Amino acid sequence: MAGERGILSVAMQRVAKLREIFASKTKPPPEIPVPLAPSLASVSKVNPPSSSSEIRLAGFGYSHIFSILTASKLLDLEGLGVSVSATLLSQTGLPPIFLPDVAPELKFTPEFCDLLEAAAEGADVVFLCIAGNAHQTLSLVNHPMPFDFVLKERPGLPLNQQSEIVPSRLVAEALINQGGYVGSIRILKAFVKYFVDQEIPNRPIVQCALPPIIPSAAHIHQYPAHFRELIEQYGVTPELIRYKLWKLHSQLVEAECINLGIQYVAVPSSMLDEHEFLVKDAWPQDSVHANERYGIRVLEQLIRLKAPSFSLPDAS
Amino acid sequence: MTQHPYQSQPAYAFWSRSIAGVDPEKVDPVVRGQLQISMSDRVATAGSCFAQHIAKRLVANGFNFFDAEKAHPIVPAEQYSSYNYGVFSARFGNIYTSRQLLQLFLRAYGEFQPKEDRWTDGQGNLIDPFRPRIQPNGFQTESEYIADRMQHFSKVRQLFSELDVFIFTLGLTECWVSTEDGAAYPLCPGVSGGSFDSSRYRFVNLGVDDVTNDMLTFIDRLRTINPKARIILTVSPVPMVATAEDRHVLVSNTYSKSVLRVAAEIIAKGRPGVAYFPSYEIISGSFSQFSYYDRDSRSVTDAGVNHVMKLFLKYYAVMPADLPQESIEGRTAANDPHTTEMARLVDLNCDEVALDS
Repeated sequence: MAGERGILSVAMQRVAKLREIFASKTKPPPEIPVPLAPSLASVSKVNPPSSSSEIRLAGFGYSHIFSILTASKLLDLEGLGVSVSATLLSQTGLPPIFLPDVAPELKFTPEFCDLLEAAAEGADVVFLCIAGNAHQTLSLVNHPMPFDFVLKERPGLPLNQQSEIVPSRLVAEALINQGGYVGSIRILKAFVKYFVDQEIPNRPIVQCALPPIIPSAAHIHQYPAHFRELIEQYGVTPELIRYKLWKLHSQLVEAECINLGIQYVAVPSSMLDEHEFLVKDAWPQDSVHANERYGIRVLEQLIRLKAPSFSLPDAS
Repeated sequence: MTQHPYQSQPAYAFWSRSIAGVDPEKVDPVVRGQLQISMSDRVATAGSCFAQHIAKRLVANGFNFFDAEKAHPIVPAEQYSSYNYGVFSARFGNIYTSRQLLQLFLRAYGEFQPKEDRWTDGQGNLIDPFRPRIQPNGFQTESEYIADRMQHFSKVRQLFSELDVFIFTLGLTECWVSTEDGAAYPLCPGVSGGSFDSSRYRFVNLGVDDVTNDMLTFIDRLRTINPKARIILTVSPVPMVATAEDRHVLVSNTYSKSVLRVAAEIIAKGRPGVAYFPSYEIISGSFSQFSYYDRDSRSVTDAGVNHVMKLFLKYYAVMPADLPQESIEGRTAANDPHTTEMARLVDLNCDEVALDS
């Protein structure tokens, strides 16, 4: 029993550590420019869409929104009739977002409502990048008691022989039961409710897919960031297990979106390699996000919600 | 006055002195322990529903309950029960009959491979015929089904090879077997998976010789891999839900329990290191005025389980010198997440009840 307590204790410490790390990861990496407020968000124009009127995108989210924001800054969008406002919700300088905890629904503060209203005013598409990292909590670093599972959609993927096999429905339960997942879905629901309640016709409200995983353990070792200590202790989880957890998490978030009545914008197909890993060109200088090349293709998908034939050039 | 053997018999041999004149909660039919369990011994449990009570109480009382197939730490604790983690010493579900136990052993060691080893539920999920209610809605894919069963067998082998004490509760004599190879199912096909077909399944009501031979074979095989394994047999006091015989369920139940009780006696006398513990007598004995059964005359009350476990601890537990029995009985597992969760498993998962639905 003592051994079991030890394992449980290590696991609980590890989860707490990962949560701490993910909490800190929602803060922007220093090398990435931070939008201080919607008024300062990138507004660029490139190849004009078929429609002569301007397409306005307004986005809100956590760390995964950086790839879109950076993409919008890299491209010279002027003259294209496209403007992008992307608000990082964890940036300093924002007013408090939520009123003191009001279970079960989160409610925005009046100050944040003002900001939301300004940022989304006239937007043709509202996009959200929320609920993106829960799978990393379980997957990035090897668990002290390694586990694996069968992904229903790809049951032929090999199982790690050194791992404990956990029923796939229980792995989904484990993801859902994480504080990180539950909290992020509450936030997602709050944003969706706010924008749905505005009842603006023909304005899609969409959630962007979670970026695929970076398969390379070497890359993750190269950019361990806050995970360094845990990676040194337990190693990086095999890529197939990380892939399965990403896929499972994506399915859960997509199901939440269906329940909420909003569209889930899938990962751009050009950003997936033959194994459904993130293509190497889109690897950033960290372990858990995607870079601006990925952001460009997501941006393109978002614009296509209003201008289906629109295309953006690759980053130079 | 004529001398006769009863004159030298102890008080417990007389109904008037050990039952009629004794407070029900003080009735003690155990008399003496036949083997001892130390707090460090790895104690494994298996069997029918009543064995779940024993597992739970062993954990709550600080015994080294051997759980060879624990839930992974990522699994939310509230899911343990429905996925059958911690209910018995591995995820084999209820083992109602001696035939099931023997075949589990043989299957785990690759010596018996039933020809019909999976069912579908009509919605694409796979059901394990030998543990049809092991998890909600079965297995989503064949890969998961195979992987889980391989892991399960591996854990079962670990369990049998490393346990110190094996507590097995004999539950039923009635069972359904494959006409093709005799594979014994815990539940009639069609009740919780599969579909009933009289050409593929037949009813068997095990007799004393059947149960005795199954169990002695199992014990002998177990000791080839674990020579020091000690075994405690009990007979479940929980009556059967339904009978497949054409007679009243009460009559069938009496027959079934009688067979099991006789077989347990023969088995315990037939091998060293095998004890019979009379939980059946404690719960079903008339001395308690049937107060150890709930209103359905089937479910065992907490008071009944308390009586059983109190005597079990008294006669079978080797207590540390500085730990009086009372403190062991009252101990909870509040500091250990796993054992705390075990203690929480009050909703017993008795899949036999599915027969009634």
